[in-house]
Amino acid sequence: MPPRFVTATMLGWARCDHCGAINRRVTRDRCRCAVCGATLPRVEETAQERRVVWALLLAAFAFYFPANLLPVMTVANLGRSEPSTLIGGVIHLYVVGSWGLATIVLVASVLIPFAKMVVLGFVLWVSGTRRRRWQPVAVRWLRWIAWLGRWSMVDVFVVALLAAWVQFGEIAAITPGAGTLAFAAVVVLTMVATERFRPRWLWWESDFDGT
Amino acid sequence: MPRADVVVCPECDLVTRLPKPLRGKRAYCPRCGAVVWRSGVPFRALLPWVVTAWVLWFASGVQPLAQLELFGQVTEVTLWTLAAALARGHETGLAAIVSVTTVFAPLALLLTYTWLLVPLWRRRTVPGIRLLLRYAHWHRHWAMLDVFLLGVVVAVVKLGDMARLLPGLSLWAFVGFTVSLAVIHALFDWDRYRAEWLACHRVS
Ligand SMILES: [Zn+2]
Ligand SMILES: [Zn+2]
Repeated sequence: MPPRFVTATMLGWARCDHCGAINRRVTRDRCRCAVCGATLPRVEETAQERRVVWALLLAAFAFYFPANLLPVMTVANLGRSEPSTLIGGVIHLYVVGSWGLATIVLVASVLIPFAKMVVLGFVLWVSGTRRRRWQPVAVRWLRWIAWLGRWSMVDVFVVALLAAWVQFGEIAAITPGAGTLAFAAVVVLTMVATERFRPRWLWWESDFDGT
Repeated sequence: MPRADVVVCPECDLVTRLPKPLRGKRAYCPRCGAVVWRSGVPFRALLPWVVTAWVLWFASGVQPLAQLELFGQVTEVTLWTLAAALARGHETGLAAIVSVTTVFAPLALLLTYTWLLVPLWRRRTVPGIRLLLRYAHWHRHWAMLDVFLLGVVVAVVKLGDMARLLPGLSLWAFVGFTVSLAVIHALFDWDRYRAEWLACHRVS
């Protein structure tokens, strides 16, 4: 039975991940892009590359806990200094009564980074199985996290700006805490992991079944 | 090179032929829905945007983004000194992240777009194009100007009642710079660029 779809790999072609050029007659010895010189993707290296993405994801997950437990910044106000954590900030907003803002902060800085890691784990798992039922879901969710990924960096920028602006000595000063750096590590590691995940891994298995 | 109307899906590796005639702004992969073709503009049309971006880049760095006033004391920070201010407070990690995402990556991206246009203008290739084609997507990924702008808005809201904030001219220049980089990015047609550059490359 002829395959329903023709892929570049079946033809012995490869599309360069870096510059997008289509290379023909790719073999083990000719595996560099003719236009930009980058190494072309190969089916045989999928397992190795997937392990790298798993490792990055686990590292991001490890940083998630200090990011939420350590203070993101310390606010010194007229001699009193108050360290504040992400969760502490949310609770404070609830207590004060700004429910809307509290929910936005909770979703943007606590839930979304966590959801991103769960989704990437799910997509990685789907790419390793032949569960074709989950393929369309995985593809859609992967696009969502690839788009959302960078926006989590907002919290890091806010702390950086506040720390640079609010420097009034005794009256008021803001110092960034270790939590911000851990949070930045979560964002950067998930971004790198998402970038290194190749969506074609979701399709390759079924491509070679000939279905 | 395969025929020009044959494309390979960047996400699922599917080989398809583009519909003829090409209509609209984009064409999508029939299997996974990824964008396989985007309409572009002639590279000449990018030049005014590149020049604008350069002017706004300088304008956004030389003056403070905003001044903060509290009991008569004023602190100010420019885009270029933000990272330096953090580094002075021994926040080197944060300083590194902020400087890469808001200064170095956007500058590298603008330099990349500028240098890429040189061979098309001189009708012969210049050194470094291969390297730029290879790493341009990296700069695109780490230049987070839009996210930084959102951060400015959130920081201003948070400071709200604590101190008085006076936005500077540079903040608007920075908004303009962000927009012009986004426009260049949206209009740049990488497939056509590779074809035109290869043509120049063979001549020289
Ligand atoms: Zn290439
Ligand atoms: Zn596709």
